[in-house]
Amino acid sequence: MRVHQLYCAAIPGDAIGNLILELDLRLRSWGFESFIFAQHIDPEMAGRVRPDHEYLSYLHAADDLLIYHYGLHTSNVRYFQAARSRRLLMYHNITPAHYFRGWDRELELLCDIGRRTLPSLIDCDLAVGDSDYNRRELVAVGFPAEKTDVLPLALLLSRFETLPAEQGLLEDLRREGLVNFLTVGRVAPNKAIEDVIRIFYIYHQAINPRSRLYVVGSRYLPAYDRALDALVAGLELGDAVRFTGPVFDPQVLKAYYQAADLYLCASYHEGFCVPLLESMYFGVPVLARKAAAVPETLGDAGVLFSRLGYAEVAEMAHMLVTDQALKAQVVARQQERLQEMAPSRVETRLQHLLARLGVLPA
Amino acid sequence: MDENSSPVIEIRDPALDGQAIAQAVREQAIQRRAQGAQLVDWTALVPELLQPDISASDSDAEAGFPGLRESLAELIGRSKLEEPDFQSAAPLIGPVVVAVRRLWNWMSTKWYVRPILWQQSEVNFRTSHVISDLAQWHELDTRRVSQLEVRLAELEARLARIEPSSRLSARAEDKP
Repeated sequence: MRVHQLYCAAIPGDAIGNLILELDLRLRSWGFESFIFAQHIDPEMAGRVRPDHEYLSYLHAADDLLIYHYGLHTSNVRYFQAARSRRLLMYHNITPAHYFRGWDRELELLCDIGRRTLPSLIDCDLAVGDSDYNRRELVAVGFPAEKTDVLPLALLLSRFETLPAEQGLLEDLRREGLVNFLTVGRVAPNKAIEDVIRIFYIYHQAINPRSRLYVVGSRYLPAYDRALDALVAGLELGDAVRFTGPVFDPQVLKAYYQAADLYLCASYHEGFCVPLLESMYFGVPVLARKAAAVPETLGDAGVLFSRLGYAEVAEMAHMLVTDQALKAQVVARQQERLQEMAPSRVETRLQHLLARLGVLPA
Repeated sequence: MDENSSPVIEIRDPALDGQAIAQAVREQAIQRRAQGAQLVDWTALVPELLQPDISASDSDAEAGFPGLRESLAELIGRSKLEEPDFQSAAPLIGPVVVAVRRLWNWMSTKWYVRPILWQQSEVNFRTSHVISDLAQWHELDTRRVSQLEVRLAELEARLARIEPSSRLSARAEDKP
């Protein structure tokens, strides 16, 4: 039996793309013919992903399964709407358009259209969110609750298991003995990188000047980048804040996590937040804003901040870095939370979903 | 509880005394702020929301005519035709009328009309998406035009500043 996965852009290192590759591996191991299609394909991914128009030859194959990964509007959503096969929507959440207002009109528009298109996908066979937060959004726009489910993105961690950290980088990051704060993800307004910088500023100025903030992720919004650069300059943080750009290599990413003393997340909107899971995996204590799907992903692990008292959040960061007993308990609880979303459990859940669609025995 | 008295820090691990930790953090923050206020430029931390540089952004671009997006969303939502369900308000014989009409439809028209419905839905669906794409491109073009207009105004202003001085220097060169 054939299973097709269709999505927006095949870019190496992208969380949705990594999930698709992990699903592809499992589907093949369970005996399915598995194909991946995307509208934009990075040359590095060309061997594994086919142009989305090639999916059209399967459009009327009623016995196939089409999995559509939806995280941004793409015109290939119409293939999903028109497909005669069984259809599984995997909703990775679309950032509300207003976060991009004034920063990037094109993204604002694509997010807006993406969210407006969501109700037209209601007649699919099953719609799955990475989190219950995402699932509830589907129900809120009209998806019947009984046709929705949850599949966490926890399969992604298996890529770190066998690979060592990039040793040279790890040594560099640890060389000066500084306290390293880390935040990972696209440098985008919904992630409120400015708040991460401000919290770090208080910590760096008032608590521990021997500290550094690493912002690991692609910078793709020039206006937002300029505003962040101006903020860093205005706070005279200079070299203490480092924007690394995108990191696709899991060994390099592993080095950043292993060198981190604290993971700081100020995001206002996350449909799941894979870096939280990665921080748990690498034993880095998490301090995160209580917003969107973040509390659900963390469960009762990590530490949340509910409003922005910069001084208190910075003080909490200091406590998480220096109070070894507290840190040990937070990390231990994070590990327990991670076990609740272990890849083996997610695989079982995926099999359950495929059984619901009648493509695997119940 | 007002905004300022609600806790900033929340620890949900039952193995930890979250309230005590949050309280300790709060006290430490107050103490540190009192002791080392000069270390931090608190005024540099406001406003909380980072503001886009409006002159450099495209936020003033007109986004097509009002209500277009809503109309397009509705068009896409309605593109698939649905078969009507027979109903009858006639007392007593209503269910019989409905059953007869259903049977007649099943025998005579269903197999002819249903493929046409599908075809029409397909056409509606494709048409609505082509219109949606065109509207999207229209918005992007509007944005580009708006950016170009800003750029043009800047260049015209610069040119206006340059022209008088170049005239002056040209006159100076004309003098023997």
